[in-house]
Amino acid sequence: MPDGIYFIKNEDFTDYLNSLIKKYRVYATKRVGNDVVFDYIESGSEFVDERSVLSPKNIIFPAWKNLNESENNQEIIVFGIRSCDLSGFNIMETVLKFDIEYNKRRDHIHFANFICTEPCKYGFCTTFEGVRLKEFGAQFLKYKNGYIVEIKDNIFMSNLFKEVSQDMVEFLNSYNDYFSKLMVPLNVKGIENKIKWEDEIWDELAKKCISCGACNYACPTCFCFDINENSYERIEEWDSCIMEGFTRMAGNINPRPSLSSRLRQRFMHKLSYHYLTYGIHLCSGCGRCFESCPVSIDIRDIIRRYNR
Amino acid sequence: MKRPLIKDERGNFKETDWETAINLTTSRLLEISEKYGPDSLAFQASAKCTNEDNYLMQKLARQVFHTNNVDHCARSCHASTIEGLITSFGSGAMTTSIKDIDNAELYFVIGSNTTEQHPIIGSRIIKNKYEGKTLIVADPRKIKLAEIADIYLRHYPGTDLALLNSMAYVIISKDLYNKEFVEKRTENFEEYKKVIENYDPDVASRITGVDPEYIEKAAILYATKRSIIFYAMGITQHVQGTENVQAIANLALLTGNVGRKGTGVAPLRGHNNVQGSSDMGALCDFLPGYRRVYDDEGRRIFEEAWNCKLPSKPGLSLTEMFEYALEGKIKAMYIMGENPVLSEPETDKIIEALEKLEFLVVQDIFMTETAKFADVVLPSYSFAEKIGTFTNTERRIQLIKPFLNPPGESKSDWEIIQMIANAAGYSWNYLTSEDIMNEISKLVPQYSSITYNCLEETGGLQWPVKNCQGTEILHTEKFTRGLGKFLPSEWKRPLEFWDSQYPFILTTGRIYYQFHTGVMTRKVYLLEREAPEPYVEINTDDAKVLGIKNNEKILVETRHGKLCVKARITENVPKGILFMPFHYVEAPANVLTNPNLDPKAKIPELKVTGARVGKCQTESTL
Amino acid sequence: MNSLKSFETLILDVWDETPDIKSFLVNDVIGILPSPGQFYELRVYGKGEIPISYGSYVDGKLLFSIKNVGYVTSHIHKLKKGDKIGIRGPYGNGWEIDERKTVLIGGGIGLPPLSSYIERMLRINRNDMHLLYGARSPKDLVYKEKLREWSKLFKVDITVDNSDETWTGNVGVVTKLFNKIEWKDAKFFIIGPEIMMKYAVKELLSMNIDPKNIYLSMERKMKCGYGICGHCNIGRFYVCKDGPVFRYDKIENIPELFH
Repeated sequence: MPDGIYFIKNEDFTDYLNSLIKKYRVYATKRVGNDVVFDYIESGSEFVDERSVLSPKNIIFPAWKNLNESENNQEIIVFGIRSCDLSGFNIMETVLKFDIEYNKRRDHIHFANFICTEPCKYGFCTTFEGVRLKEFGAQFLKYKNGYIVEIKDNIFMSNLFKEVSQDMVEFLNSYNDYFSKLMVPLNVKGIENKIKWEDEIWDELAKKCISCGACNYACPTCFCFDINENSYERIEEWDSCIMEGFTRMAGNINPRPSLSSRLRQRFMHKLSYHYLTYGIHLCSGCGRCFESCPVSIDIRDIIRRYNR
Repeated sequence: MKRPLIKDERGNFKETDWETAINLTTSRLLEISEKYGPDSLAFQASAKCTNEDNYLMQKLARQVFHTNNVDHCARSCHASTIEGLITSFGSGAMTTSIKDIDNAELYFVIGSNTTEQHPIIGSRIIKNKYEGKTLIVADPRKIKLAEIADIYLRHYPGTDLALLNSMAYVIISKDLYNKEFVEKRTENFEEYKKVIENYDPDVASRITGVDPEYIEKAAILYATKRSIIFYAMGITQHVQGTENVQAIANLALLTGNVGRKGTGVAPLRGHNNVQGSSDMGALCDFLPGYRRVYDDEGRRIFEEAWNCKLPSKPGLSLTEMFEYALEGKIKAMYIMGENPVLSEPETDKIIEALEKLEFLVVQDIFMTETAKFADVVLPSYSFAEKIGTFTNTERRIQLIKPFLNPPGESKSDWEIIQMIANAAGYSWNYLTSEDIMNEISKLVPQYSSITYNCLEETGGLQWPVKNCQGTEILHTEKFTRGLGKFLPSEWKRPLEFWDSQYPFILTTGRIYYQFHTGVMTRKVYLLEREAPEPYVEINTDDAKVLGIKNNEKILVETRHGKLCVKARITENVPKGILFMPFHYVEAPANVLTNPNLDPKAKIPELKVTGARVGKCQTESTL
Repeated sequence: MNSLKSFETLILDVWDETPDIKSFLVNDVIGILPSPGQFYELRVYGKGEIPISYGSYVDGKLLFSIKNVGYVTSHIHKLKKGDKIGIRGPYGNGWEIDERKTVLIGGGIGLPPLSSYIERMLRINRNDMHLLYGARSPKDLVYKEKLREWSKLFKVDITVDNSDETWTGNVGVVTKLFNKIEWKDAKFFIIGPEIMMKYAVKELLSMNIDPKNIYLSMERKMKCGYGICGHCNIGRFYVCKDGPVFRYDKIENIPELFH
């Protein structure tokens, strides 16, 4: 049987999670009121295998950080993240890996992602990497009376794991294809060159967009941040390219003074620019931008506009 | 701020302990009340504080200090809504719910820059518009919603009443009004019809500057679809503010666009708790639950509950408090969570008034421009540090819980008020803010049966509440006052309008990134970055004629003051109109605004002030 | 790999270059020899940081010439000799030194990065350079001393937009000096206000200069300085990391190149 693939039975699952909680801080999906959110859990029974409202972006890239204070980087296990979010973080890493602080922080964080068993309402992840990822700490896929577990990070190993059977391996290997039939991927081939600079869509979107920045905050691949300071603190905080001040320089010079030029920048950065340098799109298809946008601006419309 | 502050003889603030500060405050207030009478005191509650805080503030003023001189900033924004809708419908709040917006077929937005001031509602309107609903926008400024509107009515500031009356004319003359509704559910229709006869679209067009064809089109659409009217300061902040609101109510009554799904009148409230603070009676002429202070029956309920006699004469409204302070009739003020130096018209007079007081105590979370004039400053909690309830624009009472620890020795607002009441000899013994809500739920019918548990389980309830169940749409079977009343009025020219001396109209307002006087928003780096400085919007053609360049500092002068501020040349304001946001202390727009009040609601006419433009002599702004 | 941590250093000297430009001599505490055209992030504690290309690097001392245009620069201008300042860097891609001759075209505050190149070339005994420099007026010329020195070592042509009583040299925009360019196969370095760069490039292309021989030093708002905060993104490049010096043929198709 291939290395690194195991099976864990449902009845052993809570014990498994508890064994991790005993040794490390576990940041997992739990239910709070009507929502599923990420929070530190004290017991394995708090965990729910469900998509969280927001990605746990905060854990590898804090929304607000005082640079004057040093970070205490303790081992954290992020348990229950969806593949689209983790894929997004892996894409973000292509840029953030040049930062020493990010690397120090990332080395201490271990991801265990859960592959979705059915398409979520707004996602289109099959357009990009898909549900079964290549980079992860531990990857869980629900199968009959338990989960198939792929392990790349030994911190997740456990003697509660059982051996996998042949049909489990086949199921796992064919899962991306299977899921693509449930969630038909959009065509992004060549979109990095097809997306048009002059296009009335940008003005159209600017009529709707209320510049709230929710898309940037919800997106697991948006990494833009601002650094500012006052007499008390030096802050690194999430920024939004939709805001007018994002590119404004001293003397009130702004290369992107109009909302339509900033919306164009956002979509070109996601679907074109990043691909031209790194060979991957700056989007994991999680659909959270559309979900959180108060006027429902949809990146899928942009993709479909250029690639029927 | 972390500790109470007392001003010493040299005018410097010194930190002190709570006992000293409270004793000083209470003794001074009692002294002044003894010497000059209870009406020489004035209390300002806060639309940012919780219902519990505000309830105690008005109780302090009324029970402990025997005066109705308690008011707050709702006076400057929606006092005309309260006055207008209570007389029209019996209840002065949004008649429908935010969710209900999806059920309407048409949105009529007048006097509200909804996407910038109420983005949750504004974006919902945009989404619905793109799904096929109809949008009519009426605003002198070309706001974002106007760009996607089906019909955009660009009327002159201060002419809303003529526009609304004219729409009614079209609806009545074309027989499009809802006869059944008018007959069964309203009164005074004949009086209304008589007044409306004077407002045919051609007449209105001369007054408002809007093409009569558009007025007709808009009126027909409004009458024939399920419609919600959204309005805000553009309607309320006028000498005819109450009458404007009544005109809106009249249109809703005329067409039956109220009391059923997908219809309604939606005054968009601004502060997080301005609805709640109004509900709690932090108003000079209303007791909690909107009973008038001169209503004997209403007063009796509270006199019994609080075991005291209550004054029956309406107190002074917010603007009047400062006027009277200037005249020496108000000697002491207790201001909680408000910054009148920046938010009230005629800043210079406000400062003069504060300096004339014999005693001023300010309770706030930061040192504000107003707090600088205080004799005693009391530090309180922000929303993130307290437990209590807020009531939002759709009447939803929601529980807030603390998630931050309060700084230093600050105390929650209601605790401080209780300390003062007890130092004055009373024995209030609220242990938690829930105790206060218990009392409220017994005395305010709209809040009956509310407990923190029930709010937590349901996530918030819309009043009126009965048995822990809220009410989504008001006036479904009958209006709160029984029948809806048509209250017609004739349009009157605003007291300050275009004339030879002052050829511009200055209208003030808000922008997206800053909130009010910026006490909180100007401390947030990213918000400041987006909107760092004050400006005045001037029309492209006007700028060309006057030789003004973009970003050049110009002098804006009114009968009340002058300011030097950067010009922003834009097509968003029509010719002859200037627009200034009022958030910036370095160019406080209220130095320029006029103090003319709506006689019924006492709300200042902040939207129309005669102005002229000139060259800046020096770099100073005041 | 880089970090946002800035190092505290001292201002060794301050003097006025022009009415709105001051020069600061700063002690280099980082110890990495910068390449000409690279920049550092200078930090005024409690106020903010700005990206500034260095003008000269001699004996472990860095020269920065800074124009007072905004919030942070206005505070830098208040600093005096002996005050502390934060520094991190050097960042970016600088001007390439190779066998080609160099024509340097600068405007206003664009001279310091060219100066760092000239200094490095002179140090390796290369004087095959031609400097074309323009400023608004004679008193806005930066590095007046250095300009005098350099004119003794290689061809230096200076122009001002507006002259005064003392000025006897060229008057007009710097592109008017292009008829003095003799080396058509040299590499061309252009730096200055974007409108100047735009017209300079246009002029050079009309003179049939190969776009592969034209280099521009671009400017955008920068925060991190090493390509992770997204502010200076232009096309698929980050001005701080892939630039600020770009070979023109690589960026000529970017629609928002010159704003």
